Amino acid sequence: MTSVTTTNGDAGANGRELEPHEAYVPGAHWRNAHDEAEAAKLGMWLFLGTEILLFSGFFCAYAVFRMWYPENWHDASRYYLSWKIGFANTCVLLLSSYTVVLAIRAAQQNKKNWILIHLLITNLCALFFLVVKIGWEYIPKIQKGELPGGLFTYYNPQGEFDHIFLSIYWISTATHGFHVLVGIFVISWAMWLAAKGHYGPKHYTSLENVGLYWHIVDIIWIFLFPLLYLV
Amino acid sequence: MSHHDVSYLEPKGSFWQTVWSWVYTIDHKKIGVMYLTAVLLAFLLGGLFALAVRAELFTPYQTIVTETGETITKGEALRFIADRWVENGSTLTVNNVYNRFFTAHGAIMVFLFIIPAVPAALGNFFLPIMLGAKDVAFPRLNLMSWYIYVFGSLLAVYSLVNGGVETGWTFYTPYSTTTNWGSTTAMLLSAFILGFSSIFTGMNFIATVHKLRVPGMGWFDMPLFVWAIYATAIIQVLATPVLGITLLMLVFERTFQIGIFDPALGGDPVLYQHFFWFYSHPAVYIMILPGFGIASELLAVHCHKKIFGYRAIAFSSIAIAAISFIVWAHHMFTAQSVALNAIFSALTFLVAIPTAIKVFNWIATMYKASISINTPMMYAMYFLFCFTIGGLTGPPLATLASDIHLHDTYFVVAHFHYVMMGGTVLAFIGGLHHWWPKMFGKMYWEPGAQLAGILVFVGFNVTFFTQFFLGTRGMPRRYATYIEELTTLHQISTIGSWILALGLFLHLFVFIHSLAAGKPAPKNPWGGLTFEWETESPPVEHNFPHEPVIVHGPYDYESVVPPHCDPAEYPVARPPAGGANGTNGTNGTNGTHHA
Amino acid sequence: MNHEIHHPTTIDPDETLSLDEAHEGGHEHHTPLGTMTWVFVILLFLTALTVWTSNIHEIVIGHSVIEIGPTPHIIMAMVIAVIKATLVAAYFMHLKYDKPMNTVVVGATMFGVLLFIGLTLADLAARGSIDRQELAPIVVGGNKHLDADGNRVDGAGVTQAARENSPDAHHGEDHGDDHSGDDHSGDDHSGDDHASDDHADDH
Repeated sequence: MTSVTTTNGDAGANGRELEPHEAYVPGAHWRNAHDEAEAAKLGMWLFLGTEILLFSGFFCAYAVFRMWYPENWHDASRYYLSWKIGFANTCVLLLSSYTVVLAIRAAQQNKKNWILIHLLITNLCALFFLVVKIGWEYIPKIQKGELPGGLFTYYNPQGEFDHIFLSIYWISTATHGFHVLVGIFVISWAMWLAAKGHYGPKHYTSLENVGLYWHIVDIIWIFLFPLLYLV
Repeated sequence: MSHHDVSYLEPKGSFWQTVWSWVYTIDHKKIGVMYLTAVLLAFLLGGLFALAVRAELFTPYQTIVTETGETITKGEALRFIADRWVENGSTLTVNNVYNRFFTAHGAIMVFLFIIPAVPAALGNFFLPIMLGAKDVAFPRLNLMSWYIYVFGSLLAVYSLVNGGVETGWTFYTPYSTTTNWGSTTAMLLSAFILGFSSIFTGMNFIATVHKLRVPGMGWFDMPLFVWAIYATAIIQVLATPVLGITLLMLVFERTFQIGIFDPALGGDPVLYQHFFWFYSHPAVYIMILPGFGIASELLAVHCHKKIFGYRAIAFSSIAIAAISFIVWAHHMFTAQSVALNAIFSALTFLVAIPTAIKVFNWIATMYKASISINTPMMYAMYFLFCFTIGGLTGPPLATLASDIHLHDTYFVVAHFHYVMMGGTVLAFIGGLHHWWPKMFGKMYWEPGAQLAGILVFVGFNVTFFTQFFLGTRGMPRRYATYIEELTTLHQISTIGSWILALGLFLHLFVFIHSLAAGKPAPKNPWGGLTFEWETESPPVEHNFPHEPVIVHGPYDYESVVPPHCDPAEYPVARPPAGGANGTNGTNGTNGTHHA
Repeated sequence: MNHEIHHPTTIDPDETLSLDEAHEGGHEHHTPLGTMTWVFVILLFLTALTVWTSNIHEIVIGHSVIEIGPTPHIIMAMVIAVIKATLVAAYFMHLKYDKPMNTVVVGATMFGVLLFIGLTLADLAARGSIDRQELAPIVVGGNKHLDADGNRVDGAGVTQAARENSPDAHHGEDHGDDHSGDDHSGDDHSGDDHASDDHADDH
């Protein structure tokens, strides 16, 4: 009647030192590693649900003001934002999502170096995204006074509610950018674990969860891009 | 293995090692006890503010001009605080102080006490045990959520010390964007951070219920407390992020003047109300659903009877969780468009259906039962009485026509105190007594607890029933003074608050007395059938000496003798055909306790 | 590849050491490279498509020119975005291969988002459509001190009518205005001395 746990840490079985992922033992309160991995993914999906709901606040505010000022919204989007920058950033984020998928595939095939290479590409894409965002959008906007709400000093006689558009632009992209920054840290953490041999066909749950987080950052940008840059 | 038979409360080596073992613990029981301590402190703090608010309302202001032409203002109980509270070089008015006090009361009671009270304290302790698990799904996340809670609470206390907030706990714009710069921002961030604590607890519980039930335990073998906590966790996960973004946008509003809620910049304050209530109405059910769960347990155990309508109670919890998301705008009947008022009014009445299902099932459970009259059972009955009053005063507020009159009056104050305090808090105190012997391995002084319970019940009703009359007579909430005609009612209410406080302090004394000098608790003092009554009191480190086996439902009182109990004391009405379980009561793994 | 759920008690310890076949960590599905690459290509194509459609402002069919306003644009952009997000969730995020519970979580979340945005929009769109027809002068302290034009005799308050006529008042949607004024307009508050209209209304 004692609980059943699978232990893979039997190093003597084929006479070689096991990698950490092969020797992985689930937490003491789990009945088996399968349950633990499923629970970790369920927990991650619940967390992603909270992320979606968090961003839904921005989307709700966007929808309300878009409903009230549709023409102004269209003009402001065209006037203040360049679709080329948004397009480049979207493609880069999609690429980084794809490389995360490849990193998980590499873990399934036990190719440690390829995990590292794919995660490195992902992180470079994330950095590219942030550099473009800050260097080509935020800094020029701050210099020109295209700031949110009450801080807005740019003079544009056409747009009565430009400052509200820019408010939503700033808070949503800044919150998203913060998530990208967090993503860089967690991907670096996953790279560190991968380098130590923690990921392999037997155990790559945290790599999967890092991937899920990164994909949700991508999905949010998939919505932000057309709403801010293309309407 | 040693941890299989050592109580979780057992000290670890030296004093500091023991402290360390608590600070770094990932044991859900220790985290539950730490949460319990924290929420009780918050309850004390919030309660003191409530007493101050009631003291101020003991008499109305009266400004009298004497014969010599001197103007005297009488009846300001908080004057002595206002005179000492200097801000920006001048003293505050009593109104300022009163605003800060009722805001502190509301914010502390909502964010620091009642939302984490049952799920994070009792839920943390008993949910894994009731499922036969060794811990929650993510123990480290659980500990992190406690530290986040502590950090958020300290920020709230900082905000109070730093001047307090005048907006009410709802932080309505434009009050919240224009008043008390530093302290309001701190309070907003505090509620934002506490939200994360709540989300993490909810995530943990959902994953635990899905993945850590003991093998063989189906969804309908779970105790109803678990169902209630599960429904609560769904709301915590789905609603709290919207509060997070709302408060974050409010902080942005204050720091970067984003103007989304500011009419001067083209924004809209009603938009803020939608944002706020999308979380805060479901939050009402985060507060009350765990109370429902406790009531189900208390009534079944202390009536020694199979709970009536198990599935109806379980599904009604889920139904309440679902409906809670489509009724939020009934808080805004005087702010939003007429078309939506009609829709939300109609939707609001839906809540009555699952709630009434629960109440009727509870009453049916008590019918012809052999009821043990003790503190938990008395609290279960207090809960039924008060919650029913709270529930039935809901429809007048959901009705558009009467809400226009009752809106923002003491009728509303009384209504939600009957639901929140008369519902959740009374259930919480009852649950605390019910599970106290299990949590700490000590019995409490029963006569003292019963007396305290009577004081709480009487005090509560004297305090808040009066407020229904005040409300219908037009007394608006959140005012520091009132017209003289209402003095008697206000004084009755204030005296009630003193009786209530006396009862609660007596409870505190009983608990402290129990910890210091209580008799050792048996494993199953009430004759319960759920898993927590099979293990030791207090439970061992990994909850059970051996993983329990499920052989009967959580409420099969007619066919099963409770574990560790004398069959003579708990006669079985209908022994099962095989007879094996009837005498064993439980699994064969726990040793030699069978009769 | 084994698509079944392994029950731990059935796993032979020796079998789990064979690296190619072991999936007991809950990972029953290997990521198919070809499918993922196709999804990536389709995502890039859809991104280009959404940019392209956003720059179409008129469609010429024969001699007739159809102007495309902002609303069709945003609908088109959202349809494409939803398709892209679904692809990412189903393939990159493995929802297609996972236990259905994770999809239920996403579904519940999306339901919450739609309720939140939908009902909030419904209210703010309906504002002024019904209640504004019943405007009556409302003034702090009751309307018994009003003259025939709805102006206050003692000049102490500002009537709703005066507010409406003032040059800086918002017209049309009335969104910029403080909410308390017009929301009570259908209701008789004339006897209410407390001016609680402006008060926070929560319960």
